[in-house]
Formats: sequence, structure tokens, C-alpha cells
Amino acid sequence: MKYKISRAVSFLALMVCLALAWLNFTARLRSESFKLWFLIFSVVYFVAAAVSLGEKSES
Amino acid sequence: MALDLSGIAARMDRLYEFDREPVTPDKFKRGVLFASVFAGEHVAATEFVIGAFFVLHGLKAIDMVFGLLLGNLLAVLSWTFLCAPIATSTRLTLYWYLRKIAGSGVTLIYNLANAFLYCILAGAMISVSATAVGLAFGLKVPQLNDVFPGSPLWVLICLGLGLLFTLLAILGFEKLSRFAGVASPWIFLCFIAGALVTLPKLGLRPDFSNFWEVATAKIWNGIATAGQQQFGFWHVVFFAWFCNLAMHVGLSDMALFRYAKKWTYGFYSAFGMYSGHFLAWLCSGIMVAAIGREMHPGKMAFEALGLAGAVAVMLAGWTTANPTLYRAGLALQTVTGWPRWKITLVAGLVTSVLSCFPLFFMKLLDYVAIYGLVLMPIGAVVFAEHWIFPKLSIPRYQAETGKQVFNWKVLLVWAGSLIFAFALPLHLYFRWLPGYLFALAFYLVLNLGARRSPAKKAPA
Repeated sequence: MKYKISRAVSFLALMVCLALAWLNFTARLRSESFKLWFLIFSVVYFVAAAVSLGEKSES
Repeated sequence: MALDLSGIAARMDRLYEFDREPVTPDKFKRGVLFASVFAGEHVAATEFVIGAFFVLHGLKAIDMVFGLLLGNLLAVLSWTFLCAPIATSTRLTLYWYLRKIAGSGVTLIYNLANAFLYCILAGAMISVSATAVGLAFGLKVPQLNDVFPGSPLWVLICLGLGLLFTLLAILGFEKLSRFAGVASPWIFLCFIAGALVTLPKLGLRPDFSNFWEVATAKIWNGIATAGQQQFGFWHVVFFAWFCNLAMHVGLSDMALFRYAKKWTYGFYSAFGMYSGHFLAWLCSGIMVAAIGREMHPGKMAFEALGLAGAVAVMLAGWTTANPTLYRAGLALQTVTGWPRWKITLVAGLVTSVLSCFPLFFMKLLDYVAIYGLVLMPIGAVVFAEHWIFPKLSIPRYQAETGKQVFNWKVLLVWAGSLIFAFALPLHLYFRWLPGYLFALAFYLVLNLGARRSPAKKAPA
């Protein structure tokens, strides 16, 4: 269960990163804000992906 | 001191013992695994450099797009029709198959050549990472034609990163390689996002209505940067084709495809080619155009994505250098017999010193061409032995049956076809194909004398 959740979170974080880039491309998000949020969701991705990796190897 | 060849061969065999036996059907893998391996492996730090160099070499947009489409298709077909059929028919790695054909001595030379080439590639990747780390220190990145390091800071950063990467490679390849698997989807996303947010800076409208105009005027405008050779359609086609020459035509991906249920799994290589060697190359081209065509991977990603971009370049450099260092260590371990940590440390130190020389990073395209060219004749030898020898009634695996350490014919073909290829009055990128055909023909001619007579072939 934990594996599925962390996997879903990591996938969602990637999708959010892509959506942020789209918002910046369409001028709905300023560059500075985009870079900050992109970094935050990248960290979320790595944490969730690392957790899912750990869970997978345990199972 | 005499070289103890039999001892080295025995150590080499022990090292690769785990994959000595052909893969059994219960170990076959699903196609999706091949797709993910290819997609992960071919989105690396080199992509930040190669796509950018195509812009600097003055490619036109139309040549870039169609050249990459065709070149990558040829690469996929090479995996599918050359590498995968031999792998699924033998279920062996190239190491063990080559050992039967060429003997343990030639396999040793092949391993050493591979290790040396791996070290240079890892060194170039450390240099790429150094451009990202250097942003924090205001580092001036070497110029396109620089051979020697231009500043003590560059040397310090390269050596520091090299030592760090080496230490990580020694500490735990297994866990780190799994982490690299986690990083690759994010790095690919960084390419896409970086290009997307860069496009408006080049004048693209949000509805993409002027995309082709921007692509042809601002990115791939057909004008080479000063000092860079002008490239055209065929340069791109051949580069995309030979970029992984050692893996497909050179057959080193037999190690992967021996787990495939059928040879058609070679088509899964398209997932790596069209994500990494098409989209990622286009994206890095877009990013470099926005920073005034300066060969500075760290800066181009930082300008697009901020700190995350710089981290992406550093991570991409590390995730490429890490397995490369590991493989170099493995190959060298067979010669020295030292423990893996010690030989990885030595390989890492050599690599770190190499990374200080911007030559390998700034001439990455040429290096990739030479890398493939050097290992390609072995692929031709194995191809001839596997498919053509039975048709011509030439006995196979002469090294194994004759218990030879060196199959001199293989060595002669290897050296001869390299001399032939390097002597050809052609651009470096176009030499491998005639070289490959020469190697095939030369190996067949050398072995024609060993043909069995029909009576021997079909004994009564």
C-alpha cells in the first residue's frame, strides 16, 4: 500500500513539474515562481521515488 | 615480469562466472522492461552536450529533424536485426561468445580497450557536471577548442567531483544504480520543461504558430559557430546511427537482449532513441540557443530551470559516470586481480585527471565516433562467425576448439580494419560503415581456407 502511494505521489510530482513548465510557457507563472516551485516538486519527486524504491526492494 | 595470461584469463572468467551459462526461458523478461531500460539509459549527461553541439555545428532545422528520425531508425534496426537475433540465438553475453570465437587473450584486450574508453567517457561526464557546480563559484568554462585546463578552479572542481563520484561508485553500485533509475525520468522531464520555458525567450508565441520560424531562424539556423565545422543532413544521420555503435553493431547489448523472449524486442530500443536521442537532443539545442550558443550545459539548464536545472546537469553527469566507472573497474580488475574498491579507485583517479582536460568534453562528438569505431570490428567478426560461417561451411569457434588464447585472425581483422577506417579519406563520422564491411570481408577471406569439404560436412 505504502509502495503504491509513494509511487503515485512521485508520478504526480513529475506531472506537476510539467504543468508548472506549461504555466510558465503560457506566461501564467513568473519565471522566479516557476523555478522555486519546480525545485520544490522535484524534491517531492525524489523523496517519494526513493520511498517507493525502498518499499519495492523490501517487498 | 612475465605476464601471467592464464591467471588473468582465469580471474576474468571468475568475474563473469555468473553469466557463463545461456539464459534459460524462466529468466526471460517482459518487453516493458526493455523499453524502460532503453528509455533510462539514453537520457544522460551526453544529451545536454550532443544536442547543443548540433546547434553550434550550424545544422538546419529540417536536416536536424529528418536526420535524427532516419539516424535513430537505423540505430533501432541495427539493434533489431544485428544484435538481438544473435543474443536470442546464443543467450550469451558478448564476453562469453567472443571468448569462444577469439580466445581469452583477445577478450582481455577487448575488455582493456573498453575500460580505457569508458574512463574517457566518464571523464567527459565529470566535466559536464563541473559546468553546473562551477556556477556557484563563477567558474569560467573552457572554450570550444581548449585542450588544457584554463584555470586552477576548473581543475579543483573536476578533481573534487571525480573523487566524489569515485567514492560513491566504490561505496555501493547496486543501491546507487537503482537511484540512477529514479533520476532518469526526472532528468528527461528537465529536458522537456527546460526547452518549453526557453522557447518564449526565443520569441515563440504560446499558440506555437511561429514555431518553425523560430526553429529555423533562432535555433537551427544553418550557421556554424566560429571554429566549428559545418554539419549537414548526413552528419546527423550517421551520428545518430553510430552514437551507440559499440552497443548495437558492436553487439555489447547482447548482455541485455539475451533475456529477450524474441529478437523483435530489439524494436524496444526505439524508446531510448526517440526520447533521448531525438527529443532530448532537440531540447538541449533549444536551451543552448537561448544562452548565445555557449557550450555551457550547467548555465543553459540553470537559465531555464534555476537550481533544479543545475542539479539535473550534475545528476545526469553522475548517473552516467557512475556505471561507467564501475564497468571500467570490472574490466581492469581482471588484469590486476585487485579487489574491486582498489581498482575502481585507480580508474576513478585516472578518470578525474582526464576530466580536467576540456578536450574530451569539447570534442565529445568526435570521441563518440572513435569509441564506436574502435570496438566495431569485433561486432563484424561475431556477425560473420554466427551467420555467414555456417553458410560457407567454415567451422565456428576455432579458438574454443583449438584451445587458442589468441585467435590471430580476429586480432588481424581488428587492427587491419581500424587502419583501413582511419586511412579512409572520409569525414570521421562516415568511416565506420566501410570499416565494418571491410572487417566482415577480411575475416571471411582469412577463414576461407578452413572450409570443410562437402564430404566432411555430411559424413556418410
